[in-house]
Amino acid sequence: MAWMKSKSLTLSLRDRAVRTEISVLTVLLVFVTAVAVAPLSRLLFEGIAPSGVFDWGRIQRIFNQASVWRAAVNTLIMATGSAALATLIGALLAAAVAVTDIRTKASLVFCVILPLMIPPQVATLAWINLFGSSSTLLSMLGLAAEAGTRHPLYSLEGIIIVLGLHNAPLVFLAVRASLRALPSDLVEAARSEGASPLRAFLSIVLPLARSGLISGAALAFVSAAGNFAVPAMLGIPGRVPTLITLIYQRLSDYGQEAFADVALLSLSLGAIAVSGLLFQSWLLRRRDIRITSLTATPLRFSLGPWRRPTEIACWVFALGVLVLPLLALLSTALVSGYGQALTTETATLKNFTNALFHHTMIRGAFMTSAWLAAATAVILTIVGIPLAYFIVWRPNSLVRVASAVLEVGYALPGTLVALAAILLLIKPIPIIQVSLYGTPWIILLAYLTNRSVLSLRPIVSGFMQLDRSLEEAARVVGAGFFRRLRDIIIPLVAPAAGAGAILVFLTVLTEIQVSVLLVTSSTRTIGASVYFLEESGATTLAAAVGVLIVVAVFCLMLFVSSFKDRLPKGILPWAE
Amino acid sequence: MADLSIAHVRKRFGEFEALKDVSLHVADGEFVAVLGPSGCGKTTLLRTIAGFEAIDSGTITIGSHPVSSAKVHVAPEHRNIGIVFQSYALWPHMSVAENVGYGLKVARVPDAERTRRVRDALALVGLTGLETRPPAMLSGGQRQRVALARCLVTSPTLVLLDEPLANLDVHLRASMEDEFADFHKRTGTTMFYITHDQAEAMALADRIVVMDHGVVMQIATPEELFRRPATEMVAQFIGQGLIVPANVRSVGGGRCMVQVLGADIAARCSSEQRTGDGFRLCVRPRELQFSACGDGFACRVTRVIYQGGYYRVEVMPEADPNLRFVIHRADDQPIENGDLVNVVITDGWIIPHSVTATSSAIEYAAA
Ligand SMILES: Nc1ncnc2c1ncn2[C@@H]1O[C@H](COP(=O)(O)OP(=O)(O)OP(=O)(O)O)[C@@H](O)[C@H]1O
Ligand SMILES: [Mg+2]
Repeated sequence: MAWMKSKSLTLSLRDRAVRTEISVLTVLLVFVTAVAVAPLSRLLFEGIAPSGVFDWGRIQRIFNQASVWRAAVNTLIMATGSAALATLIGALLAAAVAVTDIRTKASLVFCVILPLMIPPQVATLAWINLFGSSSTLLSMLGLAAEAGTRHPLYSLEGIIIVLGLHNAPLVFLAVRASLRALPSDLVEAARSEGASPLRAFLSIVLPLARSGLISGAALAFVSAAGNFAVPAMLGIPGRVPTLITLIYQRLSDYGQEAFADVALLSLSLGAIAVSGLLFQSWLLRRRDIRITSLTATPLRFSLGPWRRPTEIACWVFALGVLVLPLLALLSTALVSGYGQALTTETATLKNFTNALFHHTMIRGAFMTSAWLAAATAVILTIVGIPLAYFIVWRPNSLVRVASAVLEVGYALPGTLVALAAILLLIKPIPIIQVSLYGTPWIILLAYLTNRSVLSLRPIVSGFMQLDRSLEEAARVVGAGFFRRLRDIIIPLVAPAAGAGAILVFLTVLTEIQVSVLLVTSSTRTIGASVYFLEESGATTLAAAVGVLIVVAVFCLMLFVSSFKDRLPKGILPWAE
Repeated sequence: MADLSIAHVRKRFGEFEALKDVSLHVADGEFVAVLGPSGCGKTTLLRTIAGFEAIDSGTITIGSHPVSSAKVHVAPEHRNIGIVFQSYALWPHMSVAENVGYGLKVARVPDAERTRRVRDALALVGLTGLETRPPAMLSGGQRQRVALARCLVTSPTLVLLDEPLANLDVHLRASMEDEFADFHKRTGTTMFYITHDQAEAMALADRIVVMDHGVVMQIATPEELFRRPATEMVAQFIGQGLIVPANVRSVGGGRCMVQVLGADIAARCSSEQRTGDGFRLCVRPRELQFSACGDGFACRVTRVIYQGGYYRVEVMPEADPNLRFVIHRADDQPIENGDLVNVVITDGWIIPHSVTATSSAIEYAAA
């Protein structure tokens, strides 16, 4: 960018138009510094040098504790194992949907992606309810395990399975995207050389889908390493420590005293997550295969007699993973005491009426989550549009650094981001002497750190699909920066920005990873409430809240899908 | 309305120098076309004039205002220019009238006057009645006209057009060409028109700027450019000129006698032309003829292509197998590959600034 060179910077400062842009950019950079650079560097500092000096001995001491070692090893096993499971499932489903001729793809895709939109604590609760000895559903079928036996999911294997199923849609999305880009003529060329369909699939499709597989697997790994709900709800009762539960427990047991140690543990957790991403870029280095093809015909393998069995297999799996646990959750929500069988006599709506009308804590938590989600979505959209403008149309090194920092804030586990926010705000803000600790504002800050990319990415892709000359045409007729923003840019990127805002709203509304460390008795989020209700034994009420969350998410998804034709292609993850 | 002066403008993208010391002047009301091969810097030149790109050195002056230099950079929104983009860049969320009237709205022109001026501009481009249509419901030619109306409604001092006809089909191009010419005549707007189509440039422009690799090769009227190309590149780029080595034997009054491939012919040259060896002669296909009586030089036919009404014949002079001439031949006189023919050069133009020529001319002057 020309004005980044100091000479032209001072010269062009005289121009009003350039001054406006520099002011806007400055505001954006201040925002990124406040929500991402400041908290993350505070955490880094606290973890590495809490007293101001680097102390190698302290780090050694902490990592020499057996509990830390066990937690770190478990975290690695959990993340790797569940990523492998998610990759297997996600890739098979993606191959079926993207390159075969099976029918009912649109609804299959919706059902495969839905688990991604169901918050993990609700999904875990559903799985617990499905397989537990008090399972309402299984006891109705007479299949429940005997009372007193250990819950089969309260184990490392259980964590791996639930996380693997939960993250499979991530791999599905990545692999589907890379398979979709495959034109049919590549395979036709191989077939014309005499390769069988299977051979063509193995030798042409698989290598070209490699990038999707690798990035999907890496996403699943990173997401699993940072997941709080699953290891907490299955691992704490099952005595399987992981880094994230260790952080959570130490913080709740020791409070501020544990800050330095916990910051270091968070950094090692962050290092595990980031190493997954680094490993991915190492695997994908230089092998950037550009697909050059002129035909746009997408690839289709005809399954012939295998089509029907494949369709059945896909649907049995999708419904088994989605519907069974949700039914278990629903049946638990419909009885008054956990472990009761659901019969016409025991069935009650009491849990739902309690959750909706009588329980002030739940109502308050819902209101808090709703306004936090709305505020996060609105702020990130307002910031995201000009930021994406600079990222796509006026890139310079500062903007690149800013977007990289936001990516880091997104890649790091939410719990870690929450801890960073605590460390930054535990002391009153200098000058104004206000402490945000314990208020919803600290949660908002952490959401802004952790979710900005979710809204930024669709806006950036919206800008990339726009012809730059649309903006230039407005410039030459005299429209200044804000005028162009209002009249030209915002109307044109609005669909993409709207989709991004909805993604942010949906995921923030029900999230737990970030807020679980930040909630207090007076400020709760609905996502964390499910966990606390379950932890305190109010399983049926937790189940009712979980069901309500799933219904709300489902309705919002349908609502957004209803105007999918007006959105840029590929923005809604669940749309075929 | 205003004139445009560009003096010694340089523009680099990193290491790559896209404009190298470009100077030119467009008079008030003039229609200048910029012509050059792809990637030669035409769009870059237009974008520096518009202010989308800052320049590294030199100056750009519109009217009496310096708008770009190493020290000054007036933003595009303050240059009072109009641009017609190759992609038209019509705002899809606004109707035709809103598109055209946007610049007036930005300039806070009162509603009544705005409506009137939009109506007039649309009438000027023949789009009356389409005010409420969205751009998506217009044909390519209509979109082009909306873009033109939008750029003119604010009465810009200077209108820049970047290959405005490149996206249209051949027939529509011809009729839009006429409209541009007509339009320029009626309004007298200064126009700076970028194209890579010679026929378009010749048909429209008062003068043509030929660029190559970021350098201005020649600025001249279409006739001058065709008849008296300043460099080999211009000679070859415009009108399929063929370049032949030539030794100038005698000069006088804009004509000279030259020796080409062993034959002596008369050709045109500049009034400063000196005699000497190692010059280059530009010959057009129509300045070559087959000779029946054995004068000129002997050539072998290497290729014959039927082009509807005539053959395009490629021949190789026996005296210099590296050269190829193209001659047109009526289709009632068939000819075959491998035939031996005699070719005469009836006229030609000695390229004035040939590098090899300068050195030998200096040598000659010294002797
Ligand atoms: N923003 C940029 N960054 C780097 N290089 C650029 C940039 N814009 C143009 N160039 C380079 O400058 C040269 C001239 O580009 P320009 O677009 O001006 O060519 P052009 O004459 O308009 O070509 P065409 O006829 O194909 O439109 C090209 O080599 C191009 O690659
Ligand atoms: Mg161009």
